[in-house]
Amino acid sequence: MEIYSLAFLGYTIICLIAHEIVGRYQPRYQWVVKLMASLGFYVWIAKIRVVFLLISAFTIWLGAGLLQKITDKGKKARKAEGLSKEDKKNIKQKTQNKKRIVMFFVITLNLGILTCVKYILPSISHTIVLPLGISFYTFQAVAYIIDVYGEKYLPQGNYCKVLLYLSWFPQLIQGPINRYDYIQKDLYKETRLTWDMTKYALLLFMFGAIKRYTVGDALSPVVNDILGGEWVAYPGSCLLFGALLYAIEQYMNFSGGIDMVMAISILFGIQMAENFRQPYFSRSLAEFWRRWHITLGAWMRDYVFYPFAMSKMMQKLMQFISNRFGKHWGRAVTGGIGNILIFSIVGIWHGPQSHYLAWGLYNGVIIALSDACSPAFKRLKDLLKIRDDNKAFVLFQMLRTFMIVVFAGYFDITRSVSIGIQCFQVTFAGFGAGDFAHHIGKMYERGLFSKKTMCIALIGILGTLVCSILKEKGVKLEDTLYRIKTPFRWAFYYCMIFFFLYSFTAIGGGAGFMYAAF
Amino acid sequence: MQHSNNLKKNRIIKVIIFLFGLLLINDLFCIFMQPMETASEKMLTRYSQRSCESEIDTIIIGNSVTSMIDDKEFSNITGTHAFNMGTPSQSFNMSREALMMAARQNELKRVILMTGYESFEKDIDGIPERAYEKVVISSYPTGKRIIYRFLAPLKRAISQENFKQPASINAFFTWIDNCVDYFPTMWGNFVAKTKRLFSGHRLGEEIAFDLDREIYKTVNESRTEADECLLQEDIKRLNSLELPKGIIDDNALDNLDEITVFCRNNGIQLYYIISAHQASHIERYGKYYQDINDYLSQFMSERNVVYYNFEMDPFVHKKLPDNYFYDWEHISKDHVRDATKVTAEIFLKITP
Repeated sequence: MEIYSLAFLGYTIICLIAHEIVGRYQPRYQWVVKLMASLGFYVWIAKIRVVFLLISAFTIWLGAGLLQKITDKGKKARKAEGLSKEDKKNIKQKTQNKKRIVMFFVITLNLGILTCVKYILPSISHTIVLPLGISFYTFQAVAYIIDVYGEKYLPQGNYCKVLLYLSWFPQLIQGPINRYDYIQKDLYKETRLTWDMTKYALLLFMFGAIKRYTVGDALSPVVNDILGGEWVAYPGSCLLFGALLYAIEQYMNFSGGIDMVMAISILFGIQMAENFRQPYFSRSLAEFWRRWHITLGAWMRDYVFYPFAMSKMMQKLMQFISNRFGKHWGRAVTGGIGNILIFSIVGIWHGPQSHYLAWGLYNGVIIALSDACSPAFKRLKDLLKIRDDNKAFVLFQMLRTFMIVVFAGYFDITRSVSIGIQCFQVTFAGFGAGDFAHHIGKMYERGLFSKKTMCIALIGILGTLVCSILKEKGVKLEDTLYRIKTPFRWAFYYCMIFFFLYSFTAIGGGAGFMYAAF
Repeated sequence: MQHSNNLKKNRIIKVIIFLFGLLLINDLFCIFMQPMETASEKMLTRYSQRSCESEIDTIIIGNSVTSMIDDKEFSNITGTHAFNMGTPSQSFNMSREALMMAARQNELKRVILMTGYESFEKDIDGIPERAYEKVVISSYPTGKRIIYRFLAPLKRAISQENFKQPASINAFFTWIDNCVDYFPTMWGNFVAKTKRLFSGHRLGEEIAFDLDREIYKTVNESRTEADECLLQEDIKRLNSLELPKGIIDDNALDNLDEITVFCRNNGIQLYYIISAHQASHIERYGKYYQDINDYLSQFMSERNVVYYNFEMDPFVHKKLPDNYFYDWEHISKDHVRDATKVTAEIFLKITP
């Protein structure tokens, strides 16, 4: 289902009205409306597959409750009189062991369902349809149980409230991966729709829709034709062009979709976690991953990287290397292994195909290498007397990072690792700049794009670029807009709306969200 | 309290003015960007005029190949009250809508469905312009009341294929799917619409196809070089297909089947005619031609539909030689009368 559709927006408006009515007369039950809205939506889209969601919510609710009970019991036992230090330590150890078993069981169950539904069953039968947003809500469930295990917050005693945390319907379509402690206040609080909230939400929705539909959909046929085939059919110049368009398309589609679901969420008084922060202005790949799909990166960092890096084995390894080669290498090697592991998981998260794993490794290895070589880079910089805040150098770093991301597309969108490798080969060994115009002309003749679609996409890209530059400089776009005199502001709104609508005369729309099936 | 009420009132007024502005701009877009009348609108205007004159008992539905039939002439020869509802690129789905609409308003006895095999090759319903025209047909009569302005798009918006797609919202902005955005044409649209507004002139005097266009008048020009290339490409493509599934689109066949069911349930005799083409057209399908014909022939006989293939009738080729066509499937305007006669004669012959 598309967010920009009568079905979704109509459903949202009905739920919003119900939310407001209940907010007026029985505000403490507003969260029930949100839950009904979310479950209704899930059943509508995923039908019987709602069972997976119910099971996930039940396991983490039960598991978290059990963890809390064990913790309380352990604390109580330790407070008993006449216990020696050793006894207290033993009780703590036993409590910890019990908690670990519960956590391990709950995580295994949830990840087991995800693995089964997303990876094993589709390999047996191609007719299996993934439960909507299963990756997103499973990651949220795992985060919740680990946080309760770590006593970061108290568990939620109400099963239905836990279910709402997992099933909040705007997040299921695109993400982000919300943390319980971040979102819970908004989820269960009493809230009313305000004028400012509505204005901001509509504006955000419009921006998101323009990114998603006018640019994302316009570029997708060309990208698929260049990089989505069963073999490499174009010279390197075209492949690079395709990868460049793919980087733009991916950002527009994904961040546009996130903006749209965030806007919907804001109407219900819920501010979801930020997922993009102008990623293409990053100066390194590591920074890029702190700005792109932020919630996934943070999840991986907190629940995979840190536990892995802090494990006894890795600590020992770090110590060993530090003693032999120095502190830098101890940190770089263990961190590098952690990064490669994380990005391999992120790759597999995208899909069970090997090219996704290759894409993950590409990212992990580059980050690991750049971390390892950082002292050398620093020395080179000092030698060349380049300051970190030198504008030309900053621009160079941004372009370099952008190109690394662009090249990653060779593994991401192509059908296999071998095609991805071929793309690299052809790009460097058969660039064929002279043939570029000829091939683009052929694509034009085949109707993959028209002058109109490209003009529309270009306007969308330039608009987004300007907005991103302003945001990067700390300008709050909505505040700036509100300060403009009404006639001009309205003129801007009308231009946005009709530009968006006009784009559909050239672009079909409805290609779907990139992350909808995750 | 007073201040808060005033603020609320101001905001409501602002929203109303903003929405009014939106509608106004939308209307401007409609005026400039929507063609004066689509083929379906033309057909319906003509249909409403004809409905007033006499009861219609026979309709002709199908795509542009139906332009070979002048319905008045056909009625005279066959003694029926026929009306040609064919429009360019009319899909089976649209044909069904036209049939259902006509059946609601008339006691139909016969339906002649006329297409070429090309109608089976792909499902063209996904094309926005077709979707728009389908709604235009199914919403007839729309009337002039403002409510219809909303109801017809609503019908399209909530249809199964659109409801979860952007098209469900875009349906309310009719210029999106029914749009010309070539600037001189946009200006021409505006001028023509303004003229019509002041002169009270109504279109629809002629058949749905713009047969007065120069290209349609050209006789004996036959295929252009581009057409020839296209033909060769098609032949190559067809050689790599398996029949009948490779050529016959399942959706198209389903929609055709629904037409047969509708006719059977309503006691209407359906004739399915494969229209006349230039003799060389068969080349396009080569050895598969006979297979498709056999497949459709059986499909129709199972459903008690009268099936006739003009292309396989030497009489038709004799009466309608290649130079009567302006391309390989459309009869030129000067020979519509001849083609109508041939169709009428065959119709009388095959009527059970």
